[in-house]
Amino acid sequence: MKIPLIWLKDYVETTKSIKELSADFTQLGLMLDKPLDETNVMDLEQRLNRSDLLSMLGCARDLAAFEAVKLTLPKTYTKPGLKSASDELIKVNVESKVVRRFQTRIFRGIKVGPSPKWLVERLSTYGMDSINNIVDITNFVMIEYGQPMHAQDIAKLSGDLTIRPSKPGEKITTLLGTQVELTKASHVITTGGEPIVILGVVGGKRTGVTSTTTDIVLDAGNYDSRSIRQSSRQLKIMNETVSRDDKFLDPRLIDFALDRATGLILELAGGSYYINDDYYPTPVTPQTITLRLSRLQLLSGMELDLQLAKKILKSLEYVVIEQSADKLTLEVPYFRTDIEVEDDLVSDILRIHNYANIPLIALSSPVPSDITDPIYRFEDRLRDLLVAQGAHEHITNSLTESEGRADQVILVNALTSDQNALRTDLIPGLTHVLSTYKKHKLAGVKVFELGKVFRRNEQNYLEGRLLTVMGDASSLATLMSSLGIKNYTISKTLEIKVAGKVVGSITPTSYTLVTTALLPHTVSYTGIVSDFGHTTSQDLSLLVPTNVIYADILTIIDSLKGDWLVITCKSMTKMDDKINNYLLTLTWGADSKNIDEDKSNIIATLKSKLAISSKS
Amino acid sequence: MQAKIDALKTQFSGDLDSVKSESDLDTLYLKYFGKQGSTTQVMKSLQGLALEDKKTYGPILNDLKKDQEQAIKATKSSLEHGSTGLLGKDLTIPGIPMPMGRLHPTTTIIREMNEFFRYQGFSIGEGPEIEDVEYNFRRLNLPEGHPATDLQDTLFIEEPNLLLRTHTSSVETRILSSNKPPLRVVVPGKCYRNETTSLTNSGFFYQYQGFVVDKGINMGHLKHMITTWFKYLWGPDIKIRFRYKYYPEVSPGLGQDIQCTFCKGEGCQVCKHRGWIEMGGSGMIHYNTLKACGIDPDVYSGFAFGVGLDRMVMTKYNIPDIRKLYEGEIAYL
Repeated sequence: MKIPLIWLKDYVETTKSIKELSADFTQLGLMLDKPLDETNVMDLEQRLNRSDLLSMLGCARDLAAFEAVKLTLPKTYTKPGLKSASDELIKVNVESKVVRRFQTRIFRGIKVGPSPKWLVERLSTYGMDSINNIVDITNFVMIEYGQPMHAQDIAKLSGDLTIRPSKPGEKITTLLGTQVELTKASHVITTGGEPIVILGVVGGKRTGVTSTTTDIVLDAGNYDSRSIRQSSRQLKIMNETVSRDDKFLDPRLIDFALDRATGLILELAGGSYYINDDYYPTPVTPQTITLRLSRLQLLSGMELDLQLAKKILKSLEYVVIEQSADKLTLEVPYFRTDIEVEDDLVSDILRIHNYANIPLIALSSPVPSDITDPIYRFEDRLRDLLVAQGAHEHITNSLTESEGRADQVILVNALTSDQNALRTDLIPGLTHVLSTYKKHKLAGVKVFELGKVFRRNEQNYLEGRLLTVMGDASSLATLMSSLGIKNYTISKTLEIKVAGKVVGSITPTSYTLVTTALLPHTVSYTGIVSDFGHTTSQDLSLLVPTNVIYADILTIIDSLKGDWLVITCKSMTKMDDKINNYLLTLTWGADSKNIDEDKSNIIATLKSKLAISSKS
Repeated sequence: MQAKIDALKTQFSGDLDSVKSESDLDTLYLKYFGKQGSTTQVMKSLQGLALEDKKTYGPILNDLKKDQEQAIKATKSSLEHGSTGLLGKDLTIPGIPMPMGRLHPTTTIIREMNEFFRYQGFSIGEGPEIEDVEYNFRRLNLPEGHPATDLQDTLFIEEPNLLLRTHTSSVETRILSSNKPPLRVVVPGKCYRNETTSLTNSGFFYQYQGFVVDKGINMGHLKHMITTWFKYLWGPDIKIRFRYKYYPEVSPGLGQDIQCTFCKGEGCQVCKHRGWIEMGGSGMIHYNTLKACGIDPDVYSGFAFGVGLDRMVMTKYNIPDIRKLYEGEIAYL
């Protein structure tokens, strides 16, 4: 919202510089959207919930309250209008559910011409061109009060007005001369069946006010903001009207805004004012709300009193209905459609009292019990262990291109096809990282990621926590040993198992572990012993037919009963096309007496079951 | 006496330098500490001195003896464990850094934050990334039709109820709904929004959220917590500004800024000529939010705060493009 200083001073007397004023607005919740320049116009950010801050008056009111100065309200015309003869009334048929109020007023015998200097100046500092006095008044009042309105040339209407949903394919030429093709997402005002206004979005050229116009119908409406938003998005039209109509405006605002416009029309264009239709099926009742002193003191942490609260709330145009020693009952001003709960009043009081005045108070309550999931610490431990191995951590995008798998989670409204699904795996992301490294001639890099992957299982959506390490699959042994996992195996299907349970999988260039599956098997304090122990290790060199792999050998050895503690495979070398040489190391405890027996038992069994011979 | 001591020192250091093996060292030991050893002899000669001289030279000789023993021990150890390589011979060579593994910058910043909040008694919370509209919007006082819930900003899996969380506040409503106060929790996490990727925005981003719920929590507590936190992050001299700011899930809402560290508040490119840089938002947890999560808002109150992490990571590590941060386009030195 642009705030020209010259316009703001119509309502608030201030000697502050524009820099000081923008600092005040910042405290009030409206930061500058653009830096200040020499034009004496502040461009303030918009607030989603306060439609009144899209009006000059709304901003002026907050500023006046903040600076504790008087707010001067504009002159309005509050006398009732003349009654039209029944054949001169313009009937409004509302056939749309999005209209909460639609009021029209008729002006006859007006003189359309240029606007006076003060009006042209205010509009131009705001950034609007002057068109003629009538159009300028509708724009001026919209900016002043925040209520959009339209004026139409009665001579160009074909009878009554109807508000109805638009029909696909209907066309309208807007005030700016652009032709728009409508869908069914909008609502329109029609005359003689032809759309002349896109409701809450933009007026049409056909019935616009020109220099020859003498009679006009002025309208102001209140609509379902969501519907206006959908309509403007669909049509890709964003303007001053939409930015207000897509907020939550109060239907009572229409009276104030039209009274202001009526006064200006009569003053600047002459003519007579006639009342016309006011569609308002469910009038709004004023909202009352109670503020307890205890609540104000609790949330603020300050010893504020009701006197101050009352003074501030009154300056924001709340009306005190009832007052006692410990509470105020208030009527919420019509333009404050954002007020939901008592705390919002506390918020208003603290805001006007300036947040800078709230003291800093250290938490003094006892520290609550810790609810951190152990998996969080575990994953941080995995990061440290991998970094210690020289691996680099990466974080990659969870959004990926759909692979057309039935169990992949697909997004229904993705903007691009390369990010229309959730990843099922961390490998593709890390592969991309490694290829980037390679492109930059960085070879032999180990990378890892700890992150979530997603799957769909009929109606259930599953999130898994994975660790994938790429670039060096052999680091698995180091990692497992650091976690205190001594006996893990890799199955023929390349699953990594601990105590018979699958905890991950392996490929020639990577390995993946499911962190939640791994955690129960880990030991917290590993890698350090108080004595060096005296174990006995013996090597076993095996000549293994090429159709047999290590997993087969291990299955056989595991089926035997023996005293050994650990078996590791140190190397595998190809002897010829038929035979590979595996070098195994078996470790026995210090007190084992069956070493020779165990060894010969293993050799004999491997020979009989897998035709493996040992090489001594 | 002093001359004797100086001569002994010079002789010893010369002899030690020429030691090449453990047997050389044994010989050297005997030469100085044997019955007829040089050091032993000088020590013995103390007895013949006047009382005054004994007092002066006794401690000096004792220290010398200890130094020599220490030097022999050190030499012995370095002979046993081999040479220390190049550095052992020329200590003036600065050396070459060894390649090492590194954490992702975002992880590093999250840890930095966690360290602060753990110390303040906070737990670390997590929650699903595929989220229900109930936790992501409704319980945060974002009713149907609120502009922030628009299709345009949210990535949906099933319309209108299943989506990718748009903020870490969804974890807040989950934790509030399943735990009893008092609570102090921080939530670092990935969030998603329907935006085309650019220099500063990507389809996903990281937020760092925190909340406290207890009896008697107020705005003063919130301001204090943020002040302490920001001083931890940017040093004790950082200037902080608190102002009103609207967020649907809090009331009163609060916006916090730090004075631009580049221009010291004068206004520059970095702070968009504001002199201040927005550092996320906060506020008192909305009455309706506590109620929707099953916590009596007339008994308990609380505050919540959140910051976007990516911008902070990019500033701290001087990374200009968010895509580089999450697409492997960062080399670790």
